[in-house]
Amino acid sequence: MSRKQIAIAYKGKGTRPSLTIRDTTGKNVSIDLINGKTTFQAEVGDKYKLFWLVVGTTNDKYEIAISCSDNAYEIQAKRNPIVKTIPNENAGYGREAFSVIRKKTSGKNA
Amino acid sequence: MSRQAGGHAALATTTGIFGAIFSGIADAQVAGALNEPASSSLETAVMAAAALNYNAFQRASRGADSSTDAVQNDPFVIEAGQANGKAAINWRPARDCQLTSTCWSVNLSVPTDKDSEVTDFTNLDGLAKDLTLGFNARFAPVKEAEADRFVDTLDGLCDELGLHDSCDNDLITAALSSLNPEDVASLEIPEIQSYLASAGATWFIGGKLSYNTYDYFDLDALEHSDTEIGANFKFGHARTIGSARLSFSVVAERSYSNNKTKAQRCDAVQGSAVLQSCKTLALGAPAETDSTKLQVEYRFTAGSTGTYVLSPLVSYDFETDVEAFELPVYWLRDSDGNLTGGFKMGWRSDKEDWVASIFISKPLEGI
Repeated sequence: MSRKQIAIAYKGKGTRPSLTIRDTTGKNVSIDLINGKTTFQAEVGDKYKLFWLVVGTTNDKYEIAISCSDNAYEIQAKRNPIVKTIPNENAGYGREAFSVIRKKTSGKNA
Repeated sequence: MSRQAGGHAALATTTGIFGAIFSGIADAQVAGALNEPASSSLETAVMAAAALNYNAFQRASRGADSSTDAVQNDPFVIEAGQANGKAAINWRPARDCQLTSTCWSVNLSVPTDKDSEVTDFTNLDGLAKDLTLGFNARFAPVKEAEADRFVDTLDGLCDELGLHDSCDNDLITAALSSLNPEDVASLEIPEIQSYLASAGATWFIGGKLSYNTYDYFDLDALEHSDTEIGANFKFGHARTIGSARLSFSVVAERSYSNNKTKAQRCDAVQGSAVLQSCKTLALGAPAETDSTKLQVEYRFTAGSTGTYVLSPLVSYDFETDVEAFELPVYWLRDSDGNLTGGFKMGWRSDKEDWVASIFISKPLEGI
């Protein structure tokens, strides 16, 4: 099973969010910023935690979505995309656990 | 290491391309509006040429087989377009503005030609009138180490509250409401609040140089054309306080303006005994105005869903000893929902009179 590029895409106004990815050992995963997306390499079975902080304007909506860039693997998360509204403090933040799983195709695994 | 070295080389080359755009801009005109089909305007050609040359350099500097990476990893972006009555070329880092990074941009702009779809940055006489070179930078509000500590704290807090899969500010608030005060006091909430305050505080600088020519008559009816370069420099600090934003800035400016009094000179038309050709220009050389202002602005929302934004601004000009107060109330929105206008009231100590007006401005950013 090869490593694939996982992208964390952000939609919203204002400054781009501060994003951090950590693996199950708590170690920060090296991420790269490309055209508004944060990317890193992962393979099936990997588990991560995504941390974000968005500073913007009260009531503005933002959305953070996790995906495998070439759609080869699936992302398993309780929330994906994460759709939130910036609160009165003008900053929204959080953490979402997700794992990279084998993509299910019609009847058999890819 | 290699990326850093590549970045420096790219900086030099991007500057070179920028220079090439400037020197060749008489031919490469910026045309069309932003909402025009891209293929119909020469502005696209300028952008494409810049991107093409730049990407070609990137490929050459990293090897011929890295063309895909070159498109994705260009450290700088050059954009061109028209908006708000100006044609502009903008140069900025390709990477997104992050809380832990300094953001900057350099831009060259000129008012659009109302009678033409094409706006020239240069002409046969030299640079176009009212050509402006500007820069803006916002320094990183937080350091990488602070961001790491925030993540550590948030990670621990989410676990302590049992929010293992999904955890965010709303879920944390809900979880805290079910705890007794002693338990809440033992959690690292102040650390989170402290970091949010840091993230909402930033220093900024900016400035611009404006090139312009001023034509006028002197009292002997001789025509003159003076070239002047106005300058503007600002620096300041802004921070979030609850749902409001407080900023202060110092703005130093030297500007020029034509005399409002006009004069007309009429000369006989060659070959005619009765006809005259008349020309109207400002009377006298352009006036030079210096100002150094201290400005304090407090921006906050009003209405249950942030319907209105009030942004009172107090300023003092050290050069003219004039105090001013302005109260804009933003409530008009553009098609994207951004606040972009409303009405405002203003007062100046030298006029001692209130003025009210309806205004439209650039979309409001960063309350």
